[in-house]
Amino acid sequence: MLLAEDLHRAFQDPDRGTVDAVVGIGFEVRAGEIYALLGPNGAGKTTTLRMLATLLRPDRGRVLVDGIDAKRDPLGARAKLAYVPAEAGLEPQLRALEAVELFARIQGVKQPRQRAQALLEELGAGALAGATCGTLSTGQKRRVVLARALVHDPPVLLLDEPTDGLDVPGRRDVLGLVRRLAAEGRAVLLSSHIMGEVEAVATRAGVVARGQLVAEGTLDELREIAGERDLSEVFVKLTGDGSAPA
Amino acid sequence: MSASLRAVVVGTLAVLLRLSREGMVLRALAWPGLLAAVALVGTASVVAAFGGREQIEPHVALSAEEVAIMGPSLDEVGLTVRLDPDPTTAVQEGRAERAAWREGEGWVLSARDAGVHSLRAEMVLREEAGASWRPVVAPEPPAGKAATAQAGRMGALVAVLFVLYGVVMGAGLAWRDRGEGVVEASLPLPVPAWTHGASRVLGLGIALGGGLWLTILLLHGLIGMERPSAWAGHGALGAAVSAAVGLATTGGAGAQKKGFSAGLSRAMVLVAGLLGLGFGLPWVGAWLPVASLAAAGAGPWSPVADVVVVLLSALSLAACAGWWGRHHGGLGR
Repeated sequence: MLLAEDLHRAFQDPDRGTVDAVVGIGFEVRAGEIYALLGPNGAGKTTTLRMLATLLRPDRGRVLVDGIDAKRDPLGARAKLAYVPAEAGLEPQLRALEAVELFARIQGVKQPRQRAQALLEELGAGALAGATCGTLSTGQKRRVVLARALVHDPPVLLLDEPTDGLDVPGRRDVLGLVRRLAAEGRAVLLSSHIMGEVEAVATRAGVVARGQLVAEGTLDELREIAGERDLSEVFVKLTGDGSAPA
Repeated sequence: MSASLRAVVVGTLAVLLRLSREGMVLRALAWPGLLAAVALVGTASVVAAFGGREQIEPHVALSAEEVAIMGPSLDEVGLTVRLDPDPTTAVQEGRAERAAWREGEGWVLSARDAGVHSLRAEMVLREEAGASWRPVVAPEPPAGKAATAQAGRMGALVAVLFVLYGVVMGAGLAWRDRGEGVVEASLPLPVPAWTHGASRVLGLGIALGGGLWLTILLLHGLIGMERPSAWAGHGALGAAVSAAVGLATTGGAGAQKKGFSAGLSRAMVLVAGLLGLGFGLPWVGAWLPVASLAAAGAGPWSPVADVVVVLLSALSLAACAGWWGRHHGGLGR
């Protein structure tokens, strides 16, 4: 469903010169699977996600979204995926229903208003339809953003830190939604540095450190590789990052 | 309808909807027209209430008997005749600004001032009395002509104000949309990245152009204006182009690191440069958007220049949209 092969991306930094943000990352996310991209801050998770979402051009490598080569046909690939960045990105002056409907109209969805309303209700945000996005809480925004991302029924979902800034109930709700979306047959890739949520939803995970995929597999396989039971210890050992994960 | 065109239309409508809910934007668009209208009506009221009547209706007080002799001649030079039972005391007692009466074979003119109207009255009286010399005062241009030229200058000022609005609103919209992640969220949509830039420029252009047209129409309705459609048209194009400049200077990823004021000041310098070009080299400025507003003071717009300004404005807007696409296009590049 989603295939990343040998992705490379470097940036020019005025102080540090050329910085290799992503070095040869490759993995596959199958339909119905939730794949977690783990790594400390600055490891290259977001850069990888942005390359998959066609927002950044890889210096090298290939991305296939539902069989479409994202480099050759970026617009075709975009039609098959939804990318939810860490920041909500909702226009503060628009109402929730309008924000979702806007994306539906741009995507060419039939009966955009009805589709937007139905999605908001499906995601438990029907009551927010008339609320201005600028007045919504972080959790409410996350629901609206997910509704907006799903408006064209994409088979591939890319979520960058989907629970960032959420309180405990909000986090639980969003993770429940993610599980449901995967159960519907979507390939879900989420980036996170929160071990608890990865343990709760992920089918498989890839650990990223210094721009490289240092380990990949089911959570049990990762535990085996690291020789640790606690996932936080697995994370620290595999990434070589002393900072304790959440 | 193609996906790109649909995205531009829908995106433009969304920008207009967003702007219509921004109290500050609405106030900014309504303020120039309302302020000018209130100032004009207020000035007219004050002039009418406190001794400005003479400015509106210059007159000479005459007795009933003298009206028949002097009335038509005074009327010819634009002076109204007022009947007064005793013109000899009319000026002293404040009933009139000037008065005339016969004394022997000649005439006496009493006046509160020695301005152009009194000189005209003297001209008529000396002619009537067959004096050996008389002043000749050139006739005033039609009242409307001077007023509409002044109002035209007002139209230019309002248009330049909307051009400056364009810079600020364009820069502000791009800055906020980048900072709040709106750009990042909309770029993965399956439409070319330039459509997002184009819809922002078009939305701002329509809002600013609409506001300018309404302001110019209001002023034209109140005081009459030379070439109102030209000021409104060139102003609207200039505002759209300046909005594009504002979007371009603050919308890029690099601009976020430099800060809002750096991008805004670059846009201001560019737009001020265009206006300066219009003032300094009107023959060049007449052919450029924004600059055409300043250049128009030097002479009338020609239809050819209008067409060139429209084309160059369209090219500037397309270049801005293309720039947006190049800077935000991702794999689309």
